[in-house]
Amino acid sequence: MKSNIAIKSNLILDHPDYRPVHRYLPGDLVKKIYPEKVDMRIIESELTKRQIFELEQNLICIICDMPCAGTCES
Amino acid sequence: MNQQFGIGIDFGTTNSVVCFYDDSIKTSRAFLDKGLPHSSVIWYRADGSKPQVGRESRRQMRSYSGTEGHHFQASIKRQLGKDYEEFIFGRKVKCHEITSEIFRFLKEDALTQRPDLEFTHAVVTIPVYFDGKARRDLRKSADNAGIFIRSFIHEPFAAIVGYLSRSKSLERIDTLSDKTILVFDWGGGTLDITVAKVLGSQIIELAIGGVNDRSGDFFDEEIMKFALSRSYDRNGISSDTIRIVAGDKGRILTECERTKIALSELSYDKIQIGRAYSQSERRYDVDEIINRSELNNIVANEVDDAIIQVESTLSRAGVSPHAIDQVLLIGGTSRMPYVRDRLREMFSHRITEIKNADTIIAEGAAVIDALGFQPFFARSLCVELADDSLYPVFEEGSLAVPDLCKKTLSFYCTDNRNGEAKLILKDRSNEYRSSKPALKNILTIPVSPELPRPYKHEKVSVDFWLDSDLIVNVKGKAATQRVGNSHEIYDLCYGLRLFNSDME
Repeated sequence: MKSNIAIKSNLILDHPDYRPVHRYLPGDLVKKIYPEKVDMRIIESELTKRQIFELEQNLICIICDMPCAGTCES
Repeated sequence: MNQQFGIGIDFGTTNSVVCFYDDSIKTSRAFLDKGLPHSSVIWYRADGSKPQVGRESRRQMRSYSGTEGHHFQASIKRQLGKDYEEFIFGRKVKCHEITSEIFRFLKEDALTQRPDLEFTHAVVTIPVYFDGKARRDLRKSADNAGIFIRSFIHEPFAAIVGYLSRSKSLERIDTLSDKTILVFDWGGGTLDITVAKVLGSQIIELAIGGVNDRSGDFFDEEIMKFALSRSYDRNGISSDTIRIVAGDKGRILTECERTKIALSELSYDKIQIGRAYSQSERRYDVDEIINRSELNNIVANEVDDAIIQVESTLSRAGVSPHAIDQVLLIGGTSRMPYVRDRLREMFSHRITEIKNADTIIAEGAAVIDALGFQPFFARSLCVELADDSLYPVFEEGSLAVPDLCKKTLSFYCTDNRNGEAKLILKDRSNEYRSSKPALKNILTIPVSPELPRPYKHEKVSVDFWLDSDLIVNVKGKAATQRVGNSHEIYDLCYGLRLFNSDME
């Protein structure tokens, strides 16, 4: 059966090429364990574009009070 | 002292063949029974005499199956790796002990035909989806019979080598460079499909596919159901009240198999079995005519599925049917006219009729053994990382040498909140970019779900090693956990580098 759900790996090699490790964490987890890295002044240098996107997807919406990723507006 | 030789063994569900490669004449020789392969039926007798294997056993099965004092074991290959046991005259016999009888017979027959030779080891062919347990059972069976299995090789792959060797193309393999060959091997137990490419002096499996348990034996059962249902209708009895004992079922299946084979040549045939089933003490005969179009209807769904398997194997290989230069048809089920017609619709004239297709797989195995062709990884086995990149564990082109192919990798888990690390294993080819990376397995390794402060990334160590059964074993464990997880990957694609210098 075809599915749109993609299982994503959560492993990164323990190797100098893959440092710093926090750049491979999901954006919402980075916020949980390294809150200082999501400071708007440094976020672009500390996180990857993908992490920032993931973080935005998980922000609590001020309209619906849920992590709606902007869908509640429509 | 006798000359020591290796042999190639095609241990089949219905028939088995042994070949050895005669280097002096650069040809493989099969040990046959009056020009035919040995039947894989084992005949046990209650008097304790030595179990008999081969065509005589199959012949006797027709007469004595279901008779007291006789036990026939057919298609035992299908039970390998399933912890199967059979009660034979009150004694529990394990599957590998039963299959040992076939290996023992094959070895004795080879030695009888060539007493001047001593066979010490073998390359044994296996279906593409034979898992680790089945391979270990097979190795145990051969060991019991005094045959050391030097290596396993996929049946369709051995068929290509056998075919090239027989057509004297192996010596000038370079001239076939860039040829793409599809092997369609449909026998009594499994359907095995391989798309392979010749590249320089190498043959590479681009993709493998197939199914178990939807093959010749399954067709025999379907024909049996068809014939019995007609017989019940003719006699005006309900199938609910019928009793068929195991021995009678064996007789009916043997007759159905004979009819199936006959219908490859004839337009109709008769299924005749005396005293085939009983209803309230009365025994009934089966005497039914079946024609080829009825047979086609019986097998239509399975043949459709087989064609879908061919299409999906081609898709995984990244090759269109038009890009296939040659199709080799192997196995008894492939001989059915309906199967051939369906494949002809797809590949038209590129289907190759192989003379003595029964022995081609064992011939290939014998060549591989004699010339020392060492398989290599045809695709890189990779771990998918959290950034979606693929990190190769065993590189494409590297020799698949058991014990030497081993690696330990250390990972950090980038998201432990679910309490599991996901080790995603894929294989990919850099050489053939048209073939997409294929998922091999997702191994979940337990990790701690805690988010400690200060946070410490969970470390996961994973061992990879190739064993002598050509299986990549993967075992992973997190540093904080007492237990890990493991998996065996057996459906990998291999390649063979042909050493031309040895052929000259």
